[in-house]
Amino acid sequence: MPLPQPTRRLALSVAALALALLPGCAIARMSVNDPLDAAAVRQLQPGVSTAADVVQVLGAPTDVVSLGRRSAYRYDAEKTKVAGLVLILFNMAHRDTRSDRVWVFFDEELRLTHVASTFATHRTQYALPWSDVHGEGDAAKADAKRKGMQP
Amino acid sequence: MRSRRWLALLPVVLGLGSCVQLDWVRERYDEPLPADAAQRIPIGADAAVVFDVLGAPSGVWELAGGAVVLAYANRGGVEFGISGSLSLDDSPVAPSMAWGDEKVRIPGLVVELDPDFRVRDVRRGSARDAAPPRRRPVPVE
Repeated sequence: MPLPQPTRRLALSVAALALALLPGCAIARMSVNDPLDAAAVRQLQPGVSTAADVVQVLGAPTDVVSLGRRSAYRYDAEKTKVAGLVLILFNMAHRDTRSDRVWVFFDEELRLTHVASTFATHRTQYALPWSDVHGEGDAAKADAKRKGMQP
Repeated sequence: MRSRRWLALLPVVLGLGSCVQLDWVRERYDEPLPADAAQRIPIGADAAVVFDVLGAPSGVWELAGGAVVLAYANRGGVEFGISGSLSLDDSPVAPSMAWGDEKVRIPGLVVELDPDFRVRDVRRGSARDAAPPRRRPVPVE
């Protein structure tokens, strides 16, 4: 059964508008460094591991900080996802950046004393500008998919 | 008749894109800190407690006397902006304007550790206000 004339016109207008907006859609993904290996970080044992062990497991640090008698190495990775609509006159976008970051702290004999870690690059999401993407459910779902995040 | 009037306006609206631009961007950099983070870190606790609650800090630096600062920060909010420019023939001046309403917040939490890596202070606020200045703790000779 054919659609009534006004409905058909409305459907055509919506389709034309969607088609016109489509070329303005844009997504991008950027990363800095490879994501860190959560399972490898768990191998490090405060009081036992040394700076040499840490470098063997994690590679060269991004940063080395001197803290008086102590020192610290920083490892990090970053992932950004951008979704947007570029209409020249009006542009909108959502930019979401999350990081993997590990700090390892050593005493004056370069023995590991503390490990601080955050793994979140896998939680980065594409989203529309009006949505907030930090729901706990989203994070739990993403964590379940990432290798090495399960205890 | 009305639709024709709108059609006549279309080139004007499209043409505006060459000199006027509206931007709306929502940005999020790292995850928000737990609301009760400061309450969960008692003074005198070992640094390991801080790392359990907050994870890895954004920045770490040394204060005088071997004390250490752990700084946590994240950024999130909405930026809205409008900008316009106009090129005039035979004019040395190209007027342009931009206006932005930036509601991006950078909340921060700073934990100061004593030389034995025990918590001696916890402060919460905007990242810039909460963090003590970085300076070389030992004078260079």
